[in-house]
Amino acid sequence: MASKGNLTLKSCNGKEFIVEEKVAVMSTTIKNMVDVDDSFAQGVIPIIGVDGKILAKLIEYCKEHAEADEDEEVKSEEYLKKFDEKFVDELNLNDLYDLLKASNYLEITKLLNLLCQKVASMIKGKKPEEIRRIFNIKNDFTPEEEEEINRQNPWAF
Amino acid sequence: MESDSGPPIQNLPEDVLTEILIRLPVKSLLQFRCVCKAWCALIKSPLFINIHLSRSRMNNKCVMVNRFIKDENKNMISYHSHDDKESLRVVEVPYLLEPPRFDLEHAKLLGPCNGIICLTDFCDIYLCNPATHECKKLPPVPFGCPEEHDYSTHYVGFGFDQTTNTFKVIRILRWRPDGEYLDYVRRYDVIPPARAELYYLNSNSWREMDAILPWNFYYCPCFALLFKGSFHWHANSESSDCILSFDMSTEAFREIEYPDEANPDGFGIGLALEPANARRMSLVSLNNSLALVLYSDPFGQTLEQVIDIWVMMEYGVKESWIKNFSIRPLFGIRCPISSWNDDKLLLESSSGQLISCPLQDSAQLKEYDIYGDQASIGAVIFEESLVSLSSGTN
Repeated sequence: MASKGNLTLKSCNGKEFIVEEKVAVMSTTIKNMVDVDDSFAQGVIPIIGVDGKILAKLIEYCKEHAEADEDEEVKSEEYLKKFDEKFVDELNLNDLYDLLKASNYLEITKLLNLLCQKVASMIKGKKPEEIRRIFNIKNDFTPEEEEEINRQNPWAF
Repeated sequence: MESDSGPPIQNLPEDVLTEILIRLPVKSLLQFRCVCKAWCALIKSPLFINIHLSRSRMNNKCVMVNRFIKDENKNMISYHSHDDKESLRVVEVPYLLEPPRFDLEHAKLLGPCNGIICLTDFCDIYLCNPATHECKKLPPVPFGCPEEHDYSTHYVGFGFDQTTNTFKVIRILRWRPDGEYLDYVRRYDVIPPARAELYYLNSNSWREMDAILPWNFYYCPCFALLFKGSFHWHANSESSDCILSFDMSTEAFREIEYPDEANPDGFGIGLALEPANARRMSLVSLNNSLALVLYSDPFGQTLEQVIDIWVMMEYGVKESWIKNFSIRPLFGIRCPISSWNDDKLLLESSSGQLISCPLQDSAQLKEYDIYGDQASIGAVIFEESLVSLSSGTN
């Protein structure tokens, strides 16, 4: 296995990205593939279910973090924190979803945590009906059932 | 799909939704149970409750302070967040956590355990989840005493038994003939033997433990401690002092020895003879180990005090006690209240003020605007949880 080489990642809509291995293996899923099968390290790694736009975002994130892991002088903790904030702030809800799914599938734990925290901050303090609207959730309770839940902890509402 | 809405969140894998929701406070989660049936089922599931609890342990700790204010005959319980790890900020007006006819002056907070605390005045016992506001009064003990006897509760402990998945409360009591307790002690020159009763939340019932306990229990401020599934008190059998632990799962008592160097003649009790030199002790948890806090009484504001902390590196092994910290100089400290964030002690000053002191540097001592009557301040560092008392298990 070429430990310092480059890897080629291919999105589901056929876009290819050549990235440094240290960047690609921020994904535990890719790391496992490369570790187990040397041919992945030479050839093209298909990233199933992730399109080119989302894959580009993932690579952007992993590149910054891989470089920071390597050299804390150049990319300090503070720099990374700012980068992370900007990264999630620029996402629309659709991209946020796609990135959540992709980082879960590719096991990029740091990014998954960052995105989950972003969604949690978005919904904290919101009313249930607002949550339903934002996330397009159908209320499948009868009014009686909903009232029963509200009655259990009236102070929380 | 509605035009102003995002894509359905149901398309996300359930473990991703779990990762998002465990980051929310209990209050939000109680509200979000009525978003839809899938959310409700997830938030109520034991697995979710456990994952949320583990995360709370790391991130969402809250300091709960109880204190008695005599002039107002009032027991105050307040919550304080400490986001920046230094200040104590009141997070909400406490809801009514004052049971009727409760002996406020002697109320004690025990725990926490999985987000549950135990509140007792040694007559009534309550289990509470402060985050969900759930509160349960334990049923009266059904066992009788011999004729013309009464009983008094001396110590209470509680914890969670992971093997049977239930909370338990242990009560140490003594039978005594009707009339004055001290009369009995004087007449027979012995303290009546201690007994124990156990309460199980899953069956909402009490069990009388068979054996008479061969220990005498002694009260020390800030000593009763739940640690690694066992409850701990200061006790003595025959002539030697020990930490007595009660394992909530096996229901067995065990004596843990004090370090020799920290064990002068009967410290903690019978101190009247040489008060200025008397060493008192408390038990706290530090960095996942038992820690013994040795301190002296405050005599005047000018006499220097030292707090020595011994840590038991290997639980239950006497030889593993190590003297880890010596905090000095200190002045006017009445007693410890709790450890805090593994790097500080919460203390009560002789004027009844709550203060915190880093283990490494007594100059960084901080005073808070929280006062109580003499030796009435207690604190538990608890984590918010969804754990319910109604089902008896989590």
